[in-house]
Amino acid sequence: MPMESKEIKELIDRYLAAETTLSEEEQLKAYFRSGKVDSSLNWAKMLFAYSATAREEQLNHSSVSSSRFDWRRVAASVAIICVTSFGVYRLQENHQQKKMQLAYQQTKEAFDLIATQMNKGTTSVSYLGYYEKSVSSLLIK
Amino acid sequence: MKEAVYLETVHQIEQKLYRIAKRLLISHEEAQDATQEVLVKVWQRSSELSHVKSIEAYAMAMVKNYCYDRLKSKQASNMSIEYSIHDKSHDQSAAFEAKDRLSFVEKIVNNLPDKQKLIWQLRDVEGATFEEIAVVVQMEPTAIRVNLSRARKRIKESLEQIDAYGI
Repeated sequence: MPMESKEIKELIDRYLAAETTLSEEEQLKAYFRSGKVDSSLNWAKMLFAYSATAREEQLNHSSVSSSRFDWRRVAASVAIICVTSFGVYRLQENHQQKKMQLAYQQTKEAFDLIATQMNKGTTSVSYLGYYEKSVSSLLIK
Repeated sequence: MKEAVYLETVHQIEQKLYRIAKRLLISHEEAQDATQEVLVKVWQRSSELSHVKSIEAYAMAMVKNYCYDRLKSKQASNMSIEYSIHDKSHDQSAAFEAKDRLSFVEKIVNNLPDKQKLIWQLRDVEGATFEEIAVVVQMEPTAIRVNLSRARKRIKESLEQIDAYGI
């Protein structure tokens, strides 16, 4: 193992000097792909891992990528519409409830007023009964 | 028959061009535009290019020129400060933003000077030979090696710094 890592370090030095061949660079890639490495070579592990993924980067044709984006946008806008309309609905409901309560209060007050006035009216009208009684008693005499 | 050859290699070349353009221009949309424009030009001139390898090298040289032009015009209108100027403080603050190690390596690579970035991409990602790189960048092999070595050392230094921070 120490022999191997010594070889690798030598290769790395030549890699940094840009003196490695393509096949030597493949060797390095394969080495860093497999398993653990000396912590002093962590940077190389990261670098080779990145260059391998960079090789896989693909140009997704617009139809694919844009349609996926569109779906997200559609989902987002639907969510926003739902939330706002629900909010507005709740607000309106609340408003309506308040209005209804106010109307109820006002009606109640109006009825109360009518009732008191009615009571006043009936009491004053009831005096008419006395008048009738006294008139009839006078007439009889 | 030329069409068949073109179609056979077009996908492969397209991906390669896209990766090179993305490396230089960073933005996906711009890289896509660059790729399309270059492919159209290659198609128009493909009758002059019989050999597949030469089509690829020609296309890569074209995409390089296209990207350099775009970068130059951006620089003229002060639009590419973020990517064209390399500073270490940016690297460090970016270290804390980076969600994973690979995206951090990407940031380091993207912050390299354009020439180093392009040569690194061609060699370490696309696996091009020095002769192929020479055709694309129009430079002497020794100068290519110097740039490649600088790029690799710079990436190493930045990554070692990150490792020291324990990210």
